[in-house]
Amino acid sequence: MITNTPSVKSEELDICREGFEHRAAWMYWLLEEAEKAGLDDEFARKAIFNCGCFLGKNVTPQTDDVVEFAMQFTKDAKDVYEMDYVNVTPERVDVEFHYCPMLNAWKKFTDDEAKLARLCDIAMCGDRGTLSEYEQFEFHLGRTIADGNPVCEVGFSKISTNNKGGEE
Amino acid sequence: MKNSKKNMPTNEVLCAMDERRANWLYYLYDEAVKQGMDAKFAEEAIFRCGENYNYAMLQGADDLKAIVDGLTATRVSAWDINISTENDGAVIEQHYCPLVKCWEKTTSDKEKIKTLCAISRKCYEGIFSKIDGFNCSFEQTIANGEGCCKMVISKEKKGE
Repeated sequence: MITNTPSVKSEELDICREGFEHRAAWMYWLLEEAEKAGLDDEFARKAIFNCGCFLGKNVTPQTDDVVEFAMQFTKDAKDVYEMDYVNVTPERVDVEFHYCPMLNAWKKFTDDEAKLARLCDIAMCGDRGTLSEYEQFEFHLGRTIADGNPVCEVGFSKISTNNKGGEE
Repeated sequence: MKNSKKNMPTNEVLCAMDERRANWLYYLYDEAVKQGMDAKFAEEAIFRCGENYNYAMLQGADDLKAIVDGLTATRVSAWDINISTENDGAVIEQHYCPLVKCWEKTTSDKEKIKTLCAISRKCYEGIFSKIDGFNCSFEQTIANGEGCCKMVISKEKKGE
């Protein structure tokens, strides 16, 4: 059962959340119409991954410091998603999101929880794409609000081996 | 230029969110085209979004002033908007578009930007399909190189 309720509210946060929701709403209907025309999720995964790559190449900071990266990467969304930095070390940053405006948007169109979890995982391809631009960092995605967890578990770490790419 | 409302996110934050939405549209459209699709699926999608998404700012907007305010209030400063209203309609002129700004970062193909703009404008058509008594149309767009986006809201004529 998905529970996704904001605990902090303000006019400014409402406006920001509406901005995130609007993007999620466009994504939802683009996927709906693409599916009707016979495309599967793979096109959307590639597309959103490419969006993330664009961000990693052009917007997020070029740094070797995973703490600096994580703080800059999450800065504008911190209050919107009600993020807690539950672990911050020079090697790894773990963040819990207590609210997701994108999920809130999708829930306005469907109650299908399997579909909501799928949409969330497609959207997370953006973060996977951004992190793919950093040879030295690894992205970690644990449970999510969309799959029924109370929080989304997101982590960023320095690569400890030559093998990149492990999600828990 | 200051925002018209108090407690507003900065213009930078608002435009960054709008650019991000445009960026997702760009790549979703781009990838779908690679799979053999054309713009029609995206136009239908964004129209349906406008039709089905109950925009918070438009809740309870049942007269012209409330509709115009709902459409523009959070972006008057960020999008450099001028509004003129008359009894039967309104003209909204937007002098900056963060969506076009975003697409210019990913392509120099002006036709592609015009297509993406046309897809995005379908959102307003979808919104107005649910508003009784008013229509909207665009007489100019920044994407077409016309200096500003000029949206005209007019009273629906009987029989339309």
